[in-house]
Amino acid sequence: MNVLTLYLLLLKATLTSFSGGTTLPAVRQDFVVRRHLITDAQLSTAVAISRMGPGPNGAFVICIGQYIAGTPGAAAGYLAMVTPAWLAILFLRLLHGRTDRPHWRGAIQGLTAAASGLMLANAWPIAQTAITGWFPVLLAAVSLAAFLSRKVETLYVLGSAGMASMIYFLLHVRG
Amino acid sequence: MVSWAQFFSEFARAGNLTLGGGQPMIAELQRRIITERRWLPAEDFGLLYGVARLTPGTTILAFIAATGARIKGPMAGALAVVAGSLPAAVVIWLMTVFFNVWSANPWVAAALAGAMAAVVGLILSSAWQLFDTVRRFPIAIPLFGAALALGVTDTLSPVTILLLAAAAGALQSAKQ
Repeated sequence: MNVLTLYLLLLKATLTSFSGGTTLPAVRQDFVVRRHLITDAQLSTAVAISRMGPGPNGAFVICIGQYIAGTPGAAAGYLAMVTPAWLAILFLRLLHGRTDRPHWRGAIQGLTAAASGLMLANAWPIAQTAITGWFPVLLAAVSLAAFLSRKVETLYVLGSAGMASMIYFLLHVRG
Repeated sequence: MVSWAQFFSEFARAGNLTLGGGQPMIAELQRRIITERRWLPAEDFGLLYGVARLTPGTTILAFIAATGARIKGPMAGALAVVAGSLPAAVVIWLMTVFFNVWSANPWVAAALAGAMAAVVGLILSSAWQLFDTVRRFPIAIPLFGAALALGVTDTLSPVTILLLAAAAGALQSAKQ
């Protein structure tokens, strides 16, 4: 895929995302469902990598770019991640004193409610790839509880799940 | 007058060294720039946060852009985004390359399988936490349900669903 097209498709995903993490449905639609350029397994690996590393949660678009077009693709992913942020400078001038206007807030709230529904819809196909037995079900359930508690860092949850899976592999597959 | 070195080091520090996503990074920037260094008055935080939430994309990067622009002008805001994201992006890129090269190794594959199972929990919790921020909005539940149904059945593209939901939200607020 042409790097410019990749950038524009990733930009479309980041431009329609609000409140973090909601880029996922658009990325999945364009790259997994429509174009078959990556798999659900790669998508969830990308999310895991971006959450284990430093920086913003939306950084998984860098991994998606890398999977599709190598280093130039990763650069396209990075640019797609930062481009919308530059709009904030323009908005700062335009929206000074207007951010509390009801229709703006209503639009954002409506969009956020729909984004959460879309995220849930996207969890199902990813779960079908990642959940392949009772042990991954247990890991997903414990992780969900840990994330909902908001008391444990994402990095620790993902790292612990990885470690637990390695121990399971050692005991049940190799042993 | 804020020096360029101080300016970039604050954004680089918050954007690249803080783990846990956008909210902890925003809290760290607020503490360092507004409370400790007093580069901006405390009342600016509401405006900057509001602008960041209304800007599409990653909230923390929009917050960095707006805060940087408020402190030293538009060009500084644009450069602050790069300072606040490029080092972390390079780390993420290197991690992706590493996992690509080593994914065939059974130990790395086992670790990734565990992390991927945890990602399912992460997505479910993110969906709930996102919905929780708007659950008192009068049409939040119908919009959530409609988006879930349309997303599962692939009836409309996610972008169309989000734009329709934004229009419905604006109309609902206009009616109130």
